Amino acid sequence: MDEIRVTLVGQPNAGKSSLFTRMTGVGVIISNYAGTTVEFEEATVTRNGVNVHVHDLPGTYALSGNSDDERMVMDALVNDPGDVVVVVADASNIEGSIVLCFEVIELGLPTILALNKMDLAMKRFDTDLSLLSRILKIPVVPVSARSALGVDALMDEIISFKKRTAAFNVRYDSHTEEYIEELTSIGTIAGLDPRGVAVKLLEADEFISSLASDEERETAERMAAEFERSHGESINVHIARDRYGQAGIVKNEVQKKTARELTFSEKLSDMTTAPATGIPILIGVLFLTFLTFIGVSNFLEGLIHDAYVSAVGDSLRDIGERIGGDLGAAVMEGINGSILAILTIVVPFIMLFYVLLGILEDSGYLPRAVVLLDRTMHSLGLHGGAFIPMMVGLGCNVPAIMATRVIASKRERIIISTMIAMAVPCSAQLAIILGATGKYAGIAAAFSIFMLLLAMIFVIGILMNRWMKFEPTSLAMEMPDLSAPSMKNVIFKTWNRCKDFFILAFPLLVAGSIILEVLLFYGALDAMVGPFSFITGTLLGLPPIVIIAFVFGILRKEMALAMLMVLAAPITLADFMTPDQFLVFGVVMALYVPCLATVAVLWREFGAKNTVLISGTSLIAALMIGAGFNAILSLI
Amino acid sequence: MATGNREDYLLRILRITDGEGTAKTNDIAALMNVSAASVTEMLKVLAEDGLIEYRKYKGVSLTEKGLAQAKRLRDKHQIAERFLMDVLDKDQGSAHEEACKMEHVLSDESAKKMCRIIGAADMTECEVCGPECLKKESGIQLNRMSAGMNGKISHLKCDNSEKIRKLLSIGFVPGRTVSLVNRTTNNGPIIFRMGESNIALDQDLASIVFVNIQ
Repeated sequence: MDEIRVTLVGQPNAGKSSLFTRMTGVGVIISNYAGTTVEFEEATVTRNGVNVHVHDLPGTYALSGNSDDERMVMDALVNDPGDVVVVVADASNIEGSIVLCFEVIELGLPTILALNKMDLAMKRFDTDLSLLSRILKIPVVPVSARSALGVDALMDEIISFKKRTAAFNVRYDSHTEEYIEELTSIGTIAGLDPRGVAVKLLEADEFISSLASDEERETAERMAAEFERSHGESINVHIARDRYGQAGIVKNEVQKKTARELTFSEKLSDMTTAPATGIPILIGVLFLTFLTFIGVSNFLEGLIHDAYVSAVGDSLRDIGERIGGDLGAAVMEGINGSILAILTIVVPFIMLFYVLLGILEDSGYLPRAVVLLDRTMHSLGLHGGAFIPMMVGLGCNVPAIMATRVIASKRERIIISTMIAMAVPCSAQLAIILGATGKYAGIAAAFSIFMLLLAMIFVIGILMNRWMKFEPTSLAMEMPDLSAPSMKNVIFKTWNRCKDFFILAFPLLVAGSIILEVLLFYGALDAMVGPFSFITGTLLGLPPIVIIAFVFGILRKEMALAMLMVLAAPITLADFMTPDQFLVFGVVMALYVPCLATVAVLWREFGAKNTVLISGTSLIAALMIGAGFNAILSLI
Repeated sequence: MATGNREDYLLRILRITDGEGTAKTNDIAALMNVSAASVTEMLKVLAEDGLIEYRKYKGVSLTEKGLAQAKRLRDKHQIAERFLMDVLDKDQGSAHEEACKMEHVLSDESAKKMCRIIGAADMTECEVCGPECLKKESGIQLNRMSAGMNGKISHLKCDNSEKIRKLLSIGFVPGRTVSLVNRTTNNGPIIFRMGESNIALDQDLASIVFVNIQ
């Protein structure tokens, strides 16, 4: 069977990931802001008897920057560009993408331009696609990943793609052209077009320069220095100036603005960042999200709990008793408890959180919060960009720590990741704080835990900011248009992010609870938890059996609460511990060691030493602060 | 004697007197690093041309004509120096030295045009083109624009080439038009519109980009 390999490149938020999903049917997480994709995505789809391998790269504004993402994209384009490179552009904002296209074409790569979000662009512009194709001398395909328009045509274009001999070339000023001519005579690199290599050498592109010979590199450096002396402007600026100059001309030729009024979302968009309205809107959005989460989760939890109990009741237990006597009843009790625990933790808390996060992500609001919080974050040694990983961290720490990759400074990445691992509660911890502490010790107790965590974030930030050597960073972020979230995408994302709870956590919980019920049945459990009672009892003032919850909490946070529910059965949690005990339990779990998956990702991103440091500090902080709460509560 | 030298004396006197009062011969000699005798020699010539008033024992003061010429020279020096630094990216030391020579040969017309390129927001009461040019033209840093202003990027200026690359890659390229949409918070990032996209830059990055207001 024929094989075709396709690489997708494009500016951030041009919709590469949505297009990838449309082309391959493989779902990836998509959000309305730059930097959602931090890793390669790859999938294969068969069309007309051809196997098409599609590669999705992180978004990049241009190929001339030196950020990690840009290096990664250059690396992929040089070493493994596949048979066709598809430049994905936002059809409403083509100027920058044309520049990106110039650069890809210049490197001699077979290029197709896909104009995405064409349905939206048609409302704002008249675009002459065939003229654009004639100017650039490459195929131009209009698509809409949202409505799947043009995706088939794009696949057909990819399959039938034949490289054209002479695509568009940017003309640089005569001085630069002389240099290019001189450099191209030296040779080429990695089968790329010599002209493109020469330009990249003049731009001192780190990746291409590292592949060049010393002679080539030195020649290019000498030329760049000479250029700067005689023109008083760095050659990079000059090259960019020529590219944008020509991109601007192309854009004006092919695209005419249609007369229209500002839409409501554009007016709202300005308000979200204006000095007078920006901060109040931010506070309103965060407050409303928080209130919705608390209110709806509480309501849903009760609803699901009652529905399950009235539908199932003791039937599972009875079935077990009939099959296996008392032991059978105990086993089924464990399974019953596990189902109830997963349903009442995952659906009302975790899934609900992801629905709300998905709405925020897709609305395009998050980058506005980043900008508004930039100054505040500076006092913690961060910049506003830290806000998005933290929001994501409220769902799950693992993707949050991955999302810090868009931050260039290693120092900031460690500070944010420490905050996320130690003090940003993940959705499972939110479930514990609200579903255990909030429910049984009152909402004020839950609120005090949130305040404690907020204080922790500031303490971590201020201390680490002082300890770690300062590196200045800068914030440059595109503001996507605000748009109404697609419920389909929100639900898809929610399921994608929650399915682990059903397919991974649920079997674990069932297995764990069956073992526990059996141990309970034979009276072995008390003997096992006894030796740890100095932690649970003396230090924290909790029932000794809670140590089981703590142990499972290392595996996954929601397991701690689920185990507590299973252990407490048949009595309700309300009778199992006092309100004070629920507060202490919530405090310990909120600050507790990162779960195994988080430890693994910390290890991979920051090495063993930092991981041990972060995990150890969290455990000690959790126990000490928990003990402190216990001491104070027992005095009152 | 060369004109350049005469003009240097005018500038020195302006510097000492700041347009008012008198300068002592010895002070001028010290500043010019020449003997008091040669200063006296030159002051006589300048007095004959009606540029200064020379009174024995009291010192010299600039006449109205002398003051205007001296200020014009000083402004040309400033324009040349900033042009060399901002547009041609020279360092301050060599820009100053070169500007010391340029001030004498620069025509008013060229100075005005250079002024237009660099903008003149920093300069007050410029003698070369008068106050009206300051209102029309101001090549200013992006973060000093006000909301609703439109400008064409003239150049980027920063020692850190990484920051320049970052700005270039997101589209802050000379020749493009940019407008300021919103200032967000006090000293916080600023939202700019370029082409069809809105981009937030913090103050540090925005101060690297210079625009000519349109």
